[in-house]
Amino acid sequence: MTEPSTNTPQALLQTKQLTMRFAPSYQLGPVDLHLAAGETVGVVGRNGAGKSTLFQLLTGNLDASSGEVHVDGHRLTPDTPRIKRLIGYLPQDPVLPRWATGREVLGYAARLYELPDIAKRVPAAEAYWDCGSFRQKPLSTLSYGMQKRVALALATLHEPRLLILDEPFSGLDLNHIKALEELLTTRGRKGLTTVLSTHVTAFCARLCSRVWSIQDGRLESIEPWQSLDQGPREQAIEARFFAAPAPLARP
Amino acid sequence: MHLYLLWWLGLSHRLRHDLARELTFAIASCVLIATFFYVFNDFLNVQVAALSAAMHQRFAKLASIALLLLTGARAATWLRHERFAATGVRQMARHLGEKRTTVQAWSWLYTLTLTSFSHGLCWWIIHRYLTPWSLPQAALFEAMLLVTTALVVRWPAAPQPAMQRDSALEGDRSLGLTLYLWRLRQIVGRNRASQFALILSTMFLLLVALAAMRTLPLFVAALCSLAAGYTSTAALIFHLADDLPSAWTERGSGVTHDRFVTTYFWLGATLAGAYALAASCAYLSGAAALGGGDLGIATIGQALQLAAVAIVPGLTAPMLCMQIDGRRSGINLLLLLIAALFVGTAVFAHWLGLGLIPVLGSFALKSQAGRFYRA
Repeated sequence: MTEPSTNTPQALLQTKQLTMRFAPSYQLGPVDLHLAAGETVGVVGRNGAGKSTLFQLLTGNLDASSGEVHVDGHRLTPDTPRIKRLIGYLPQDPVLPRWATGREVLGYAARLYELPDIAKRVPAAEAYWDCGSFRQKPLSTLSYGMQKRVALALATLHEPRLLILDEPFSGLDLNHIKALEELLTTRGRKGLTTVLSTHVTAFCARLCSRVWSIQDGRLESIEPWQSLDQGPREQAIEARFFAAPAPLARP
Repeated sequence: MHLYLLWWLGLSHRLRHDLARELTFAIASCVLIATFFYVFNDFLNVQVAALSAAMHQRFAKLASIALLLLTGARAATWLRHERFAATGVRQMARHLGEKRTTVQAWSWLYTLTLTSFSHGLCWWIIHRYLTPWSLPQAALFEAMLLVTTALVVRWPAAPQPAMQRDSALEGDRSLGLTLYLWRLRQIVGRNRASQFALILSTMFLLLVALAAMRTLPLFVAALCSLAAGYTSTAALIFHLADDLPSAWTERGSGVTHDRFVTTYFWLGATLAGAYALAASCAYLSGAAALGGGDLGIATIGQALQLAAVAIVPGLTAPMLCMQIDGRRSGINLLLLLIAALFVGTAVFAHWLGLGLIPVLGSFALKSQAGRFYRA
């Protein structure tokens, strides 16, 4: 299915016939996206619908069966360092180096991104994500929520132009959900683009300028969206979600 | 019994749903084991045949002890994992409120199945291919192994490590050096499996010195040097298996596959270089202790020969460990063992054998082209 792609002038993220085939009977795509700077887009869909696969394709971590991904006008391939640095990515299950500390892994990532002012930037990221109290503890000893905050700090450390977050709210407590919401709102105001997946319709309704739904391997935009208030937006997502037949009969 | 069946079903589902990957792994393992026996017959048997019967018997005994210890360690790791892992049949049953006795019964069944299968297979291989053990000896060793396994499995999970030194933001360094130092620090200072391998390697260095002191054939010292190089490289392989699942940070920051593999090459070269030098020094020290500090040119030549043999695994491992699956240290250790024996024997025969390493590297680079942190 094709995402409408005509009205947006400059695409930060664009895909052309992006397709991932899993089996002769099932594929994700073809997907044609066009995302402008400053947009915050939500992706919803059932478990196993292909949200994480789509994100892996968009970040260049997974080779597509066919099609292309362009970021800021440049084709994204696995070995395009400069383009990849425009993206920040939070995987669904972020595995962190278990022998390292939060401070170390952030310092390491800052060096990999070749960021200036590491000594200021890393503590600032720690402070925003409230990682300071456990910054010197090995990551393997931290709780899931704490690890998630370190992973969020990693994904946002270099203030990427395109931020891709796979289920960012899961595991976070209310304080940090609020921090994430504020971050996403600020990013939108700064003209930075975010794509996120979530199963909580309220987050989509509150934060996203557009929402896509993945169903049977096809990506469809939920319309109308911009003209709706929060309540109707949530209903629109639920209507799309429950319209499709359930994969398994419920007892 | 229901939990036990569930475990078997889980295994079969894993095989069914991940058939291609598991088949590749199984076939690759079989090919490697077959190659190992081929290499052994063609290259090493000649050397082994030259040894006396008593020495031959001692080697077979040592090999069987090593095999038993490896099998015991592997089985203990699996059992301990099942005991402490957050997921798994045991934890699931406990969370579902299953009776304590039922969970214990499952644990016993699981332990019995795993131990009897792994230890039984090991004893069969020893009896069939290495050297038969007398029944009392075998029973005693097996009992010791079981007691050690029980201690390892029941040992409480490690307490929270102490706070780490805060030096993460110090200094200014290049991207390559950042990648290199990050891993070197983990391997030497943090990763316990890697640290264990490095300690084992140091013990082999002592054996090199001992071989020189006891004036054993040079072949024995060379084998110990190779073992020192091999075990030090195992530290690298253990760390790679830990490193790959968290490599999304590197991937996201635009670190290319080539740069990632190159980092491991330099790490391998560092470890191999250090242990080769140490093997050489150990041999010279042993020889010096024997001869009252007098070292001839021939001895120095032999020490250099040992260094060349010890350096082989460290230089070849980075080329091999992403060929099948970097996350599976077992298959990589086997692959490295074959390559190290093959190239190590060639280097022992003549130092020009070191020329095989670039050839191996060329093939490895070609097969890795276009891959992205994947085998």
